[in-house]
Amino acid sequence: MGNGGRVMREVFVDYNHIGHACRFRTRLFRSEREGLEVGEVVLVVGDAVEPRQARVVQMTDDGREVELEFVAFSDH
Amino acid sequence: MTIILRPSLELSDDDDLVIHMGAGARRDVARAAIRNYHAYEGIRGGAGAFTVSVFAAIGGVTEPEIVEALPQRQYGVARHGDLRDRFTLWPTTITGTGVPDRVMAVHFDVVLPAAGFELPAGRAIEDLTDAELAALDALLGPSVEELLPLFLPRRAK
Repeated sequence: MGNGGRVMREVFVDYNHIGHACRFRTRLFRSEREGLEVGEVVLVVGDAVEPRQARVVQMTDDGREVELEFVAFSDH
Repeated sequence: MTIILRPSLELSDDDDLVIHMGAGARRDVARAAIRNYHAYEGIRGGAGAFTVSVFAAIGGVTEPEIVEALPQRQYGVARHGDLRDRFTLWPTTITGTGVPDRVMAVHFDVVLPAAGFELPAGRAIEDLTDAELAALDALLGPSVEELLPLFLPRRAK
């Protein structure tokens, strides 16, 4: 749980396209992007990596692509 | 992020290929391939492609370097010679990632066959419905299930 009691939204990423970057862009499917806003914290999940929280830093106008930053690297 | 196709394959049969994969690899490999589809627009003239990332231990880049360059906790290794008759590999460099240039220079994409797939005109892959995504996952599944066992046993980082 997070975000004031709501279940935290999960965003799947391909770590082969991210590496150890702390800030990165990724495309979002419908279920990931509906209602998503800049500043929201999401749970980033990917194969063989512990889920990590990240904050939405930017979104394209259509919401299909976002820039995320892992919370450990951003302001709380 | 941009995908650049390098001019030559640079691989021999005995070269080792490293794939990062965990317990959920079957599902996650297909999910990643679907998500990255549009990033491959224009590569070899296609509208997109379903691919799986691997890294080759060649040109002085070692297996430990490749493993350390990415955060996944598990990986597998296969010989190029065991893949090349079954899958097409593209020598590709992905820009704008956190992967060191030296390691990204040995990145390859294994292309998953997707015969019969046609993205409806005017639609983006990330706009597909859950049912359409499930059908796409089912289409890619057999190729993923053929590919991943070539990299077993799974090794811990």
